[in-house]
Amino acid sequence: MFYVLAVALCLAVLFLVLVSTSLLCMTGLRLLLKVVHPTAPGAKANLLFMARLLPLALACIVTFGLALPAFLQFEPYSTEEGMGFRLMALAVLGAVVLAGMVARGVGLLRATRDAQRTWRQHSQKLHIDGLRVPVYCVENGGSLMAVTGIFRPTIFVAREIARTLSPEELRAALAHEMAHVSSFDNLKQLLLKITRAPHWLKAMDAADVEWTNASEIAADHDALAEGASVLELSSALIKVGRLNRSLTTRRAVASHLVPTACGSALESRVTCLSELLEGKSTAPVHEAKRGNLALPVVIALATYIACIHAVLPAVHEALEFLVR
Amino acid sequence: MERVWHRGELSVRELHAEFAARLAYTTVMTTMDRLYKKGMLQRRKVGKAFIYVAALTEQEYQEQLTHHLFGMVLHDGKNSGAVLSNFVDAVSATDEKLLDRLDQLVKAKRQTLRRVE
Repeated sequence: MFYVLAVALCLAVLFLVLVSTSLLCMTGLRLLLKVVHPTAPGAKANLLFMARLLPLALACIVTFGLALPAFLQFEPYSTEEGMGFRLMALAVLGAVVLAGMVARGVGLLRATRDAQRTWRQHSQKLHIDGLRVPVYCVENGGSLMAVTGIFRPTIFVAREIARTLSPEELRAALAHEMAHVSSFDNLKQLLLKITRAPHWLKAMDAADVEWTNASEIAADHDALAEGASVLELSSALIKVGRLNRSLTTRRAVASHLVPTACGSALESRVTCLSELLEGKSTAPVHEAKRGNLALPVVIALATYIACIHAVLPAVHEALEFLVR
Repeated sequence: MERVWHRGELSVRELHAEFAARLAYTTVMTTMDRLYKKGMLQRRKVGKAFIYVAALTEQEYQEQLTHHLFGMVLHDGKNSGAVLSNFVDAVSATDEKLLDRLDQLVKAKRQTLRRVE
């Protein structure tokens, strides 16, 4: 019974904290999107990502950092305490949410693996000097140019694109994809999709779109900072964009996926590149990435260790409300 | 499929005659049956044997394949499908106009650079 109670309690706390912080973050994110305008696109992408993942992070910290230690420390092992309806209902809801996330994660990873496998079957490996990620040239790939994979990223380029782009343009486009690899954008995308809120939580949806736009602009900036030319990157964007447009509009089945309104990532990217070409802004320069997160994590850990014993009795009192 | 497209129509025996050194008769027969079940081939019975013809021309097949492979990107959307970072997502009519404007800027910049050289 002790372990059943522990699991039920963890699930219930996880659910409660996740839902309450998600609702709070929804308002917070709306404000964040209106108020905060970081100048660096990478900083904006990181901020949005952290804000989106905050509910899950907090839920995990409260569950495994506070609720579980409090239960283990204060609840007698030989407890005969039964499981009340409140705890059972919350635990079931928690299990449903958790199972949903796991199922979504497995589905996404499987779809990614299938896409990689299918494209690889119809492709040829390209040898490009200085690139640490394998590049495959896909026959009949339309306007495909993407980096897939979380732990072993692979770049796929459609034959049509490899044929259309000049070597310099191709190098600039690949630098953009490599920037996604360096920023772990696919891992972030996976986490955002796994923790996706229902569609009616519009603020969360808007944050995901904003993150996609910011990460695309950040990848352009990183590619330029790594030495890609603005002209070649712009040229590659134009050619791939036009090829994409001609292919999607030719296909009635797929055309509903083409956005009709403005505000896409492409719009923001074109605006940024235009400003660079017109000399309205300066080209980004390479900056060494610093371990900005190390200090806050160390401080948070030290605070946790110092305060945990003082906090646990209060946490246990609060948990009693759930258990009874 | 290449053989069927080339020859127009053929039986399992005729196809097997071309691969006899490498493949067993049953392998060829099973493969053709699977292609028929997948809708790639059509067949009619002549005596005891089946005569197979392609259900799609080679061009139609290539277009379908492009549609399928490219569709895997398009259908990704933001909520489902594979995890990937596209160089360019779906392009709208508004985006197309922006690309035209960017193209003008690129051409102007290249001309300026050429003049300087």
